[in-house]
Amino acid sequence: MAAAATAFALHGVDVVHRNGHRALEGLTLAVRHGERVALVGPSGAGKTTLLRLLGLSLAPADGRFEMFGSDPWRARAGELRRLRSRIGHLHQNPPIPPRQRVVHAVLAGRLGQWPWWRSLASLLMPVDCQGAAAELARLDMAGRLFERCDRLSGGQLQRVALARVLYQRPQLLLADEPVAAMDPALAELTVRLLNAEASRRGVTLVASMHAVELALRHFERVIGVRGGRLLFDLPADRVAPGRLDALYESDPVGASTRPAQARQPSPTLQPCAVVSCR
Amino acid sequence: MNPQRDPAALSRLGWTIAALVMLWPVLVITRFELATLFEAGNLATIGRFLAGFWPPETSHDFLTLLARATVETLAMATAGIALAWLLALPMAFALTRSLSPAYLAGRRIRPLGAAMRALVRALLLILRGVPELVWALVFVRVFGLGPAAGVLALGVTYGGMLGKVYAEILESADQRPVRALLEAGCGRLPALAYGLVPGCAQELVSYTVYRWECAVRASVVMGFVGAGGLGQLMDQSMKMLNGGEVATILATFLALVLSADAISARLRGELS
Repeated sequence: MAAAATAFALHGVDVVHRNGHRALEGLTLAVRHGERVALVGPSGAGKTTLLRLLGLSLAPADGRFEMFGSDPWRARAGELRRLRSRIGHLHQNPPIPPRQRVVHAVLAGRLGQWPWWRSLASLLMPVDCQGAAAELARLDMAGRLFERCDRLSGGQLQRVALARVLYQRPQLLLADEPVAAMDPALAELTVRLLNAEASRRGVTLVASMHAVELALRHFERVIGVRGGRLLFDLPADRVAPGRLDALYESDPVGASTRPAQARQPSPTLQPCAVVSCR
Repeated sequence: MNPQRDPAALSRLGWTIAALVMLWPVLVITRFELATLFEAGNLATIGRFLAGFWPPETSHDFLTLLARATVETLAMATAGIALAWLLALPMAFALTRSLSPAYLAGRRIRPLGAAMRALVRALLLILRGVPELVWALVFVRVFGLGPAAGVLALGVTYGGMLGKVYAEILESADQRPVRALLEAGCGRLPALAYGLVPGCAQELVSYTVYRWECAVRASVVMGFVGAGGLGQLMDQSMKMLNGGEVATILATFLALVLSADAISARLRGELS
């Protein structure tokens, strides 16, 4: 495998939080450009920590970590910024100021690539209305360009956030529980859209998912994390149910539970769906 | 003990009593006795003083003079706030920790950044710690009598106040938008403009307009030390014991403060 095809690689990476908690331990993992990976695992398994590490918001305490072929934490500040501008983030709650207009919220995707004077000029006179409108139209949001974000519904705001991250044209797209707050139908639609857009543009996608079935259906590769360690790393069609049971097997504290799909018949698992939505 | 009782009740009571106890010596030190105000002789004195204010002066000559002084005061306050704003903006920008990419990575802020912030903080403290009247006295010696000294004095003091409060407003705003922008490699200045300002524009504007209102008042006080405007006019009228003129000036002054209030309300409405 040519090194150039690797989006990021981890070799024995440890992440220790400032309170001393070891959130990730000895993680070894490599993802090629254009792969679509789902992270699954119980709450507190380290999924968010892994995404923050990949988002260059957390530095590893130990091990080797490469992003786009270079070590981000050896890079100078300017180089680190450029690396960050190639990474897009999708959040569970879109981090968009309510009083901002849709056009600025979408154009903000490229602030990391524009010179500062262009970014500021765009606030006075939006520099690329066409580009923003094109992304919105693709998500069925045409004509909302000059509306204020606090006039939109939750689902529409989520699509504005998606339009922003797509407008950014990142090489790596990270999503932390992107659909956890949505109803099943909207979640299904959003995950399908996210995967379709990622594969159309050849973007590497890494998403943490609570809804395991959704992850198995739409992603190519599924990685199970538990207690800060890698439990399995398999193509989606080869993840056996036994693997998932081991992943979500409740520990003595009972903090981690396997989220049940609404369709699942087992009545004992039903209440867990409520827990996993939080 | 009743388990339903608010465990914080006792400490709340304690603090209330402590505040009252501390207030008493303060009143003694300042020799604040309301009774003095209502003694017969004093009431008569106040009455005579206030009676001198009536009727307000409305002669054409005086009104022309008043108009000129009002414009001068407004210009002084506005120019002063503009100068203060220019001073405050870069300092608030430097002080806001959440705009630092190092803060994003959860690392300690580098010593250089911390030292710079301490320096800016100290500078702001000096600027706003010295009263504008003192700055005005200094600048009157440099620029001579007139509004220029007042503008500078206002700019310096209010720059210190605006810088401190702007930084506090920015730090208390929702930090998620700005974090998300920094995560995507955005620079500090665009992160401020796209991530922080939209969330607190209303507060920033309303505080700035309130400070403008204060600047109008302060420019009157500075007029007494020769910085021109309504204050200087009032000083002259007082020295000539012309109560009618003072009354007209005070009425103008109230109208100014009222209009500042209206402008602030209007701007807040625009932004909400």
